[in-house]
Amino acid sequence: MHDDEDLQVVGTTSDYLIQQLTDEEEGKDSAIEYLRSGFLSSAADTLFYMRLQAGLTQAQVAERLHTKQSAIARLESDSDGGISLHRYIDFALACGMVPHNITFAPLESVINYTIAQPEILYTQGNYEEWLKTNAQPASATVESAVQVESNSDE
Amino acid sequence: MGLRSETVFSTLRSFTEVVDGFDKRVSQTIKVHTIHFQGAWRASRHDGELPSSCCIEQDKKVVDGSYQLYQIRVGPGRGYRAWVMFLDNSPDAYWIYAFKKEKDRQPEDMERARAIAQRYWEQIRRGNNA
Repeated sequence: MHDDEDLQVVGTTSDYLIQQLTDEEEGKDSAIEYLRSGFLSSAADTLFYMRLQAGLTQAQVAERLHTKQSAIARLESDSDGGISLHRYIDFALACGMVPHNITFAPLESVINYTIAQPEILYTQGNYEEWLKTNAQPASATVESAVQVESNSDE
Repeated sequence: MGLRSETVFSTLRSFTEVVDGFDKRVSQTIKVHTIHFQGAWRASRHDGELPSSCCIEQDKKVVDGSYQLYQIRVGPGRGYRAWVMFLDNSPDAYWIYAFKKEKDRQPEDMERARAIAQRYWEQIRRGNNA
């Protein structure tokens, strides 16, 4: 590599990401890994923001969960998805919160969303807003069986 | 650094070449973590408002230029380090280098990150003076 070639600006981080996600050969696999890691990272970050919103310290949450502050720090930084669902809900309850039911969306549609706006967090609200302006099928989001049954009773 | 909410993050080839060289899962996880960091950075007013998962640490070595260097823990198990350079009095920030955290190689990689930052700073300065 020429001495200063490595100092070339490739583009914004979004440009770099889009380039990977739209690659003809490996784009889909890259997108799957990206979305997988994104979900796990968001889940961990949500614990941090939830605790902050509740006005609690890690030590206070630890006391409520009968554990150590260091264990809470580990849960909040666990972006590899090692936390159990059981522990996740206990953490939320300790903060006086309950998560919404998890919903799902078709992979292809979410890949398109990510390519269209890679730096906008993939939340249900952001995704549904994007769907409205991009004429995707309204049935794109899959709710839990309980929600679907409940809706059909109305 | 300017207002955090206005920060524009770009990537240097020295960063993308290293990240693209890791296996796909590592590479994508690093990208996710950098994008998440960017969002969290823009939404924060100070480091205390950054999620624990960001694991940000300012490089303590004094730099010869108007910029700050930060090391972020990224990748699977947060076992990799990504270095980002924030210019003083500017909204611009650059991902400059990344490496796998290994006991023996860390000082060498950190020095490499610092050297890239310093060279890039000189390039910016030359550009401004031209």
